[in-house]
Amino acid sequence: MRLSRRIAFLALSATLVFLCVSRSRAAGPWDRAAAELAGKIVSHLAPRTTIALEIKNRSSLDARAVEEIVQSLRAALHARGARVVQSSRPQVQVIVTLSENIQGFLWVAEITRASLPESAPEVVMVEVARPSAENLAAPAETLALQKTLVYSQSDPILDVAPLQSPGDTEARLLVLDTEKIAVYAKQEDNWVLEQSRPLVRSHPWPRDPRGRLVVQADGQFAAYTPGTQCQGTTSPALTLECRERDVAWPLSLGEPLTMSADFVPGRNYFDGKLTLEGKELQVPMFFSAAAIPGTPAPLIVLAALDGRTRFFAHKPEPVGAMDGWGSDLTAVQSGCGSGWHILATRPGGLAQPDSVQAFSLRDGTAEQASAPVEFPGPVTALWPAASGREALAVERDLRTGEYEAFTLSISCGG
Amino acid sequence: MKRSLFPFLAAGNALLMVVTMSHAATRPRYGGTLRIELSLGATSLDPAQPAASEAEAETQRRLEKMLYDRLIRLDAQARPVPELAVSWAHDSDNKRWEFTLRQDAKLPDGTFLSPQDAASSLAAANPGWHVTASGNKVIIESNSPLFGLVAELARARNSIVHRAADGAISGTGPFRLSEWQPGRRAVLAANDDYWGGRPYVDTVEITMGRAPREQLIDLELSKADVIELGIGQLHTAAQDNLRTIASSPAELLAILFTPGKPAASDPRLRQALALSIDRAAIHAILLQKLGEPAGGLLPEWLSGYAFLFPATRDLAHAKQLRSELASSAALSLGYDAADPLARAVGERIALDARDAGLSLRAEPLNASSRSPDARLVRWRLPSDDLRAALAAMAESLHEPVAQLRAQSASPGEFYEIERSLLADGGVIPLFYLPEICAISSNLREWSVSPAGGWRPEAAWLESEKP
Repeated sequence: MRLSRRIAFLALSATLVFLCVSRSRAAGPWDRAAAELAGKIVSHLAPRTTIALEIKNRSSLDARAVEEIVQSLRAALHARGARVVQSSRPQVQVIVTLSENIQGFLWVAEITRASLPESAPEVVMVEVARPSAENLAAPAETLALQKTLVYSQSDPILDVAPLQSPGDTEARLLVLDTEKIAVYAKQEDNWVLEQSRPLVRSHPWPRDPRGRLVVQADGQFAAYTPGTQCQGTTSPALTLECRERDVAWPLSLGEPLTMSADFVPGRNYFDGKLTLEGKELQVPMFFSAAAIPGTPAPLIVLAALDGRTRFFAHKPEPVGAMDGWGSDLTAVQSGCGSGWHILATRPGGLAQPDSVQAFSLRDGTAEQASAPVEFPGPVTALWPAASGREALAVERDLRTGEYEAFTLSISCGG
Repeated sequence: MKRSLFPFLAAGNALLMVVTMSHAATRPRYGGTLRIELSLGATSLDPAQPAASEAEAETQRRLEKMLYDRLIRLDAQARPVPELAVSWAHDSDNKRWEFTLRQDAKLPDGTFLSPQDAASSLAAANPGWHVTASGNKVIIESNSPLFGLVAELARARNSIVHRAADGAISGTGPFRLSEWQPGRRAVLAANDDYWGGRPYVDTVEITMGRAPREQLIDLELSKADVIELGIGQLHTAAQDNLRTIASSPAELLAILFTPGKPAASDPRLRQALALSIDRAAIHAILLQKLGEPAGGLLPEWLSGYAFLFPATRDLAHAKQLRSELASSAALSLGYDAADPLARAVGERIALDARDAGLSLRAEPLNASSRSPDARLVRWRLPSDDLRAALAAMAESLHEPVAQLRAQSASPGEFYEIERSLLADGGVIPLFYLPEICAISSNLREWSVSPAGGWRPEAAWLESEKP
């Protein structure tokens, strides 16, 4: 009786200890890897061996991550019966080095027994995948320009457009990439592929691929890619018909301005033949263009091939030029200040982080109207949204290689 | 109330520049000629024909990667990505692999690359494989498992070429050969039909056999866009504000003992020499802190475990080992007479060895010199893939490790293999060195892979107008 009570007490104590240990910390991102390494370490040890644990960080992990790993590893070793001690005379010294190679993190444990101090340490390792980058939420403070992640994938995204058919109960998205056009539906915070159609092209894509989607309210859409135009519908089924032909790409949509330009097949720029409100204008070749209303004529802003931004007022001669912007820009009807803002990328390379910033054109100057919204990779597309009140930016995250599409919107409170 | 911009613009006729930054843009521009100068020349463009030396092989590899495709390439994280093969699969024991080829890869004559071309290219480079073509697939079979095959196929030696009846070689790469003077000059034109997109530059001119000093002058006179830069030239490059780009440490400088030499036959002597070398001092002074001291065969960025191989000097232990040797004849350490860095390092090692009581003489290697007891060698990493790089190192040591190809292996197992390759002290790793190039001010997107590979097809020139 007495013995059974004691066993019951020990079992209860063990349970409470287990609960305390397991409840003392929430599951962390490193727990699985820590458990694997702990398992390998313990497999070299006798049960209840006392361990002095030392952690060295040779990787790009920051101090916070290292501290999380230490906690995970200690818990994992404890759960496997090892006793991590502060004693100066442990039975085993374990040095865990958080290292890194081209493919990911590598955690290396060197196990040295106190009884064999001169022997080469036993070595065990685990590979740990680099965690995927967290979605960068817009800063909490009141910034004028905000970005919202819409969709991401590994294939290069050229353009994204929301689909809003009558009767739709869930959000749907049309995505143009270099392989296909696809419809996705949002289900429990995930975009699930509904339908897709391959993009068939007779010519290779240019090295810097670009494309544009224009969706009508009835679900019909047009997709523009260099040298090829496709048309289709999204409802009831996704259809797609592509033809090899050069047609002008729409650069701004609907009210109050309609602008289009011819894209050069096999290249990454427009040829300079621009149509604004039905009137043709020959301007220098350009990467991107925007138009904002003005009197007596709208102002056209071009990111020219020489890296300069040029301004036209419906005449072939520019009315101004400036440096300092990247090659992608668009106009947004913000409703703030003058009512219109230019969103522009910053100069830089394809292997560098990028940003988009809002500028107002006022009193003959281009003024910064917002703080730049930072992207961890180059912005590969920047198009006006169908409403004209937002823009769509696609970025290639240099950390993950994923392409991410964001909406950019301006709030006047910034 | 909206304000009209136009009246002001009409009056002012110009917008003021408020945001002042560099004069550049994100999107690449087309056109122009990229001029590259190299010290060593390639005499062949045939992937199946080995180069005369390791240095020449590197130039040959660079050219081959511009002219030909491989089934697969490795991305910046050494992950396989499709090149000519759009997909692949293997059987359960990894002995039979199927690669489905893309069908839009064009040869210069306008015809499409055939699976037979791919099969014969791979068979020529790998006599141990049974390679066949079937439909739009290439099938590779072997009697033993082919682990690491994907990374192996990404190496330049596995470039896919078409061999015409007259023996002429052509490929489907981003550039096409328009002029070829073996060892001296190559001119490559952009392939307008390249399945991966036409390169941005129109032409690449490669001048080979150009002395380092001449290269530097040419860059400064705007006669070159990319040159190789030696460590000894870095100071000049910095003074002249040149743009320099370094790879990750990708070339191993090591002492390789000559098998069968009695003077170096005792492993304790080799270990004593290894322990006597003050790598930290050489790294700080002669290498200007470039690269990293090496205790292992592979650099840290590739293996992640290089720190397990100590590279620190232990003179006391070296002296102790020396004292255990009855006597020690003077060792000879040969170095490439045309390599000033190797000479400086060799002479410094001789001094370090003397501190441990060892007698070592550094001497230049030339045609008439006798075979030294050991040589300073430079080995380039042939791949960004750990397994492929370790396999190549093992081959360089004439100790091919069968399990590197025949079994799935973890980093822990790679570490054990590397440890066993170093166990007898037949090779003493010294340093991992980066490859450095200097580039012109208007060259954009010039990237160097960790192992030193170039991708000229992604580079563009800013000043050129399309």
